[in-house]
Amino acid sequence: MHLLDWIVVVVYLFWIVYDGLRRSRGTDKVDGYFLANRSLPWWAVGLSVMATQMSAVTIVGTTGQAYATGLRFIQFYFGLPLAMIVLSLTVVPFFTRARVYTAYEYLERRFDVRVRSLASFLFLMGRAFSLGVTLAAPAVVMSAILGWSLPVTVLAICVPMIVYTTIGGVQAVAWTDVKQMFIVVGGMSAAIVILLYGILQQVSFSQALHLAGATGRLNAIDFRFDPRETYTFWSGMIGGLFLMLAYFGCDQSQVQRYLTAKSIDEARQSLLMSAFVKIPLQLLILSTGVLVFVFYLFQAPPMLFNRAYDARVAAGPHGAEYVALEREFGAALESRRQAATETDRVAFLAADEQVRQIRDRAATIVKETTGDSRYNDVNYVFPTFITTRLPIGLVGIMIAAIFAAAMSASGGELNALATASIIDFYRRHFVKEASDAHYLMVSKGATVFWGLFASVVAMYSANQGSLIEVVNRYGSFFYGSLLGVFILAILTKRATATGAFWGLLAGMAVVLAVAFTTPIAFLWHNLIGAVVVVAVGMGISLLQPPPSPPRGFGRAGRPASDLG
Amino acid sequence: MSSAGRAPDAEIDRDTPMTRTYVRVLVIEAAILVLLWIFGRLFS
Repeated sequence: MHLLDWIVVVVYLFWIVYDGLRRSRGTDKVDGYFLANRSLPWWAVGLSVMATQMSAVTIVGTTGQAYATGLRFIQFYFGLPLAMIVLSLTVVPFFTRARVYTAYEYLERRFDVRVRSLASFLFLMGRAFSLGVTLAAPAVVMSAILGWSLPVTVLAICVPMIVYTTIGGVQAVAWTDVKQMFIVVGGMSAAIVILLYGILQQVSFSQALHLAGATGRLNAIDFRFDPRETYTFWSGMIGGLFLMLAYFGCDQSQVQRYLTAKSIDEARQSLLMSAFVKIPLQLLILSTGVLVFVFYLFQAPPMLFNRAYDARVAAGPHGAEYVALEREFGAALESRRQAATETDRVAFLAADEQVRQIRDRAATIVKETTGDSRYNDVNYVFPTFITTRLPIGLVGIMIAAIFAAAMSASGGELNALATASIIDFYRRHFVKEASDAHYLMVSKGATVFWGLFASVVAMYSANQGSLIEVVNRYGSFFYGSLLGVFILAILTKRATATGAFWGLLAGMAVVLAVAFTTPIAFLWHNLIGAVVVVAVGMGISLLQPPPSPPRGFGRAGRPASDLG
Repeated sequence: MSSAGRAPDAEIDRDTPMTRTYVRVLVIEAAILVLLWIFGRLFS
């Protein structure tokens, strides 16, 4: 990287910390630290919600997936707009009126402390580990691209993020997210312009689309109903709907975002912003990956994008074969380039298949030589493009955008982990009466603790396949079950605390069994978890006497079953 | 814990029906799905 690019990255990291600290005014009370005194406008909350979802995994992993398989990953988000409407009608007014800090506080009011603690514990475990993976995504890739060690890269992301989140609380997180969203979207748009410029030197825009389409990369929608297929219209619409309901309705890292809004209306608008913008934004990112594929039809890509093992492979038993493969790869690329230029569809597809087979063989050699059975170069495609093809200055901005995405996604999660730890455990079980200053101090301590915990997890989460899938798989282990217990709490009056508690445990057990013993794709785990919790929870509840009416919920004094 | 600095309760509880916005969300999503499907068919 050029000196100017390094300067851009370093200046950006310092600016983020400075701006985060500047935003820490008004966070000298717990209400300000965790909920920004419920003072944020809808557009800031909406951008913060989207920034929390759009991690570096999204930039690095999603573009890589689109390079390899095209637009089909967009189906993952098909359930999101509907989920936002359902949540706007149900939990948004519910949680806002309740004046809660965490979603799980409500579970104690409706059921008992066991259900609240178990749900919050599941959130803490699932979120802490997936936060580690969220941080690992850019760290693994950027350490290879920048030549830094993994711990140094993890610290470059985590230290600024931990500093501004710890000192400034949710307010610093939200306002930093707003800026980071602009940097990420701006950076991706600039990359698209550069890609289009490079492609249009070779072929027309229509020809470029036909080339991408010939390989199936523009087939975004798959109507087959096959539960083993990860991304289909149905898995996105049904499994994705349950995942999004659980993620935005029961995951503290999201619930806390809209609890900072000024009013129920503004909280709703912040969620509906995602309903409008999320799919087009994901299309922008996926399109970047597809354009990188078309770009590399005319500019020679490396045989494998992850070059971490090059030296070991060259010195290993398959070294000579690997060198011969590289020559073969060069010839196959030339055939593909020629066929693409002449728009000879049959020859193009044959050459593209040959390129794919050579890449597969090369990856197999790397796996055999190194013993790294999870070797994968999907996440290295876009960073390789950035560092080798973008002009000076823009490389720095794009690297800063990846760091920005990593920090903006993680800061909100870190703040949510601290909130759940302090509100649902420390204040509830250990120190019930203390001053605001005391709770604020331990909240900051909890933020630092979870930041360090996630940093350690990040260092051990390297090379786990496509990282975007790893994050969503982690989430899907517990999201469906959490959603199930909130359905029992909010939509039924008959469910009892014991039913909810054992239903939640049963849901988790069934999802784990399904995940490890069947080929059912992970998006369906959310539906399965929710259904099992509701079925087992209601079954047990019906064997017991009806619960006494829940205590008043919220200052408006509305009953638990009234969804406003 | 203190609630100093909060927005007033009446402001926080402001709750207006947004049916038109929900319909817009659904219509736009349907349009995107149809366009994506046509786009895939057109260039495959």
